[in-house]
Amino acid sequence: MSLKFSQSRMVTHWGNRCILIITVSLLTVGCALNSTMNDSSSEEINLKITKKTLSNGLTVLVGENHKLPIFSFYTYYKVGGKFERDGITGASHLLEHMMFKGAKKYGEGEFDKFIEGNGGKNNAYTTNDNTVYYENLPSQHLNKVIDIEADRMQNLLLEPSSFERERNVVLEERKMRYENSDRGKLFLQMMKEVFKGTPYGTSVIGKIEDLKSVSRDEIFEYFKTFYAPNNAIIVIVGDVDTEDTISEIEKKFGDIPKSENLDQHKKEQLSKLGFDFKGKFNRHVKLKGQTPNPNFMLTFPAVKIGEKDGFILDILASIIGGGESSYYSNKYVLTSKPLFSNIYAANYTLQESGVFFIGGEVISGSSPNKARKVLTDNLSVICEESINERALQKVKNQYFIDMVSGLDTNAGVAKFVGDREFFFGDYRFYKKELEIYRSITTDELKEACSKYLVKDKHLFISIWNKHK
Amino acid sequence: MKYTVLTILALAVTQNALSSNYLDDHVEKKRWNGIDVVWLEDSTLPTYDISFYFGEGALGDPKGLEGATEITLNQLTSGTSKLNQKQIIEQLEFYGARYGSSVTHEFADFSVSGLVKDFKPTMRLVCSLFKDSMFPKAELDVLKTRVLSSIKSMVTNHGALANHVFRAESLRGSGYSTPVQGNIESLKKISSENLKARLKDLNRHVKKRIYIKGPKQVLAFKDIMINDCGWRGDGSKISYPSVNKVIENPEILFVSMKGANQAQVRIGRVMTSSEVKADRTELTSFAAKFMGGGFTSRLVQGLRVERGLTYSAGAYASSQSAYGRAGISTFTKNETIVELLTATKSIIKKSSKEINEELFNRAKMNIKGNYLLGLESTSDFLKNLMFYDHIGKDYEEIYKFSAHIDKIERSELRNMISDLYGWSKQTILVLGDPSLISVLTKAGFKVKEVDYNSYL
Repeated sequence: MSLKFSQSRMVTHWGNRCILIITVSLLTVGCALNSTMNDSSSEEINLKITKKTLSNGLTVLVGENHKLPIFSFYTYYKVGGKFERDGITGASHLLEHMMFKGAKKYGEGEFDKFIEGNGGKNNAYTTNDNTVYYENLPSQHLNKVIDIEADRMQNLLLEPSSFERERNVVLEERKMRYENSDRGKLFLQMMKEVFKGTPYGTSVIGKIEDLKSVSRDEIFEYFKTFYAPNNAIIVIVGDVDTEDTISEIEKKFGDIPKSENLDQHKKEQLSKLGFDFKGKFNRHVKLKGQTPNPNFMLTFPAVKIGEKDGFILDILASIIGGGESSYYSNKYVLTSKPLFSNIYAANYTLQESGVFFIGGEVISGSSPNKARKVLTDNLSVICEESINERALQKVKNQYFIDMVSGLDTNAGVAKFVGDREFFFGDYRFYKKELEIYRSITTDELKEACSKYLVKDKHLFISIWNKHK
Repeated sequence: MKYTVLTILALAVTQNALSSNYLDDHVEKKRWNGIDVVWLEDSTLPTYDISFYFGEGALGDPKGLEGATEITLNQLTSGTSKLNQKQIIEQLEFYGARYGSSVTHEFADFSVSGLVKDFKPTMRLVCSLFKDSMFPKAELDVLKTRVLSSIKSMVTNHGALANHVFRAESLRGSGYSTPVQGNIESLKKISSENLKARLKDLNRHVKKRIYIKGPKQVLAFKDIMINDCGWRGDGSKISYPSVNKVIENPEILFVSMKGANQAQVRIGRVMTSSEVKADRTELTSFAAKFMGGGFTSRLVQGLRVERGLTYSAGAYASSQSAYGRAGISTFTKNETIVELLTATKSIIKKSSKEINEELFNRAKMNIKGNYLLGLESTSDFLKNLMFYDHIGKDYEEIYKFSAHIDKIERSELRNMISDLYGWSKQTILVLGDPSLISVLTKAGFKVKEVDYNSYL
């Protein structure tokens, strides 16, 4: 499942692999050592999580893990880049930065001082679909964190001079991640082209002109609309008492009013453009870059998160472009005459839409045109050549170990639980996910491969210093 | 088990209460065929981690063949007398095994992780790679093409390019300036025979240790190691060259990158062998954390929060057994390069002279807590044990970290900041648009332009 993010008060980017990360936990692992992912009887994953929804709509998930006197606290706001109208692109991310700049009770700098002054770590990230804040701290500070989060959910200051400074910081971040990075540029252009005319067609970091012109009042209005208990999920995992924790959250968050008509507002905002693909396909978009070796993305329209085809495409991406033993790596990288220095595939599923892409770097001396021709001419071949029982089982094995490896930390569990609750409305959806992945067959993979990896629907984007 | 160990550590951090003899109960040291083995028993998950430590890293590269150690370990999967590259990689990935190597100048390690149920066949395969790798020319040529291609592409990542040139300049003459990856010239020369010779060296002559995390089943590696890897404990550890002086670079070194709309800034110096031997790790780490670790650090507050000059500013101070590096890394828009440099200098100067108690105490809590959080994962804990062995530090010191931090006085911190980051001792590098040269010169900085191509 494509739940991707990068770090540090920032916007999302993507990874090169879509991995099902199921956290068997701290909480309960019933996983026989001789099991495989196909052997469902010996792999019982049971997360002991308590879920409660307050009367104002706030969803709270708590998981106890008493192995260390620490906890992770994740707050998901169901707002991201897709809700930004023209003129305020980048608002979700800029607001994320401002959430660390003080609220009524805990003023500017107080939040960081408290967290870091007590040995904790905190950060946040913004995606097209959501905005997530997290803290990791020793357990004795749980109530204070609850108080701080409640304070900034309802009483953010958005102090003007601080707002102006942060605007500059975000502009620098934009340069670092995108303007001065060929791969960043490539990704931005890919999203713009594939999702043209939809709410995903604008970047999460925002347009430069919007970042320069958006006002403090516009961001405040955005905050008042979207930062509300009925638009949030709180996940706490660690050395905490569930009952006490929920009681404290009710005490601090219980009186925060709902954002009225929020669902209707969100629906209207998203329906203005809709999510049908409107871009033109079967073409090559060339970007002038700095790299002497062309980087590229070959994309195909795909599906939103949660659809069966999405799970199948996850596995397909891993078979053809996940790891050194993948089909593409064998054919074009680990060969006597390589065409690419690296190649990968990913199925990037968003809440309302999705894109399947193949990306990589063309080897020195070759060209993007050749790469495009080779890849698109062979689309039908890969559906036959790459998919077999062994390749499918390999990916299932890899998914399982990735899933187990994520169990080491409270933060890993909290994010896992929060992501499922956010995307599927039920943190227990991992059980269904596991069932679906286990059930996928080579026939389904071949069918999806032929259905989605179609030449007429491809879009090839490359960046190179030889492009004009 | 691991969590009990770490719980005590956590209590030590949060309550300043130290435990003693705790590791003795939970980390078992063994000796197999003369090789030291550290086993961290952990049955909470059906997974294992194993690392092979080699007490000689890139310093063991033959002259003119820099990068040989890294390529040797990187290319272990390129083919044996029985299996070709595709077969080896496919088999490892079929088991879901994660594997990879890490090479520093002083030491190297090769690590594998996976599911315990597949431990034995995976490790037998891994041992066969150490015993029988042929490094076929065709696969090596492909790798070279890819590596050389990626070196040339470094120009697109200004941060990475700045790091690369800065490293070479700030370590110039120290014996550690050549990157462990080698350079274009040395990579071109490396042959299959060179790699076989280097692997033979690692197998037979270089000191090894083995670190394993997992349940009891992982102890099966003893027989596999003896029979399949064929390792014996007769390796020796080399002595690492001393670094006796800090390089002086009175000018700002400037790397021109036409069209760059942001200036990368690197400031730092080598830490000499005598500084490293003084074993002030906690104090140097504290100084780095205080200056540039976290949102309340001096540089982030001064450069980002107060002035809005940058998105990121960080400081570091880290060492191996014979040398170390301390430095600052940040960037800013072209228009504010002078302001950023001036502000950085001023923040260093101020922190060298005056640190208020509130900041001091908060930074102490910060570093102690972060140290704990950094050990939450047992895989990270295992790596820590390996590093402690490399630098000859007792494991008990993990538990004393908090107490060491508590003992540090404000004056010691001020002095260490001055010592590590004092402006006159630093190599300063700016990478940006050529127009910045005149801007810096006009502002009174001496600037020397360097060509990044000569560092690749």
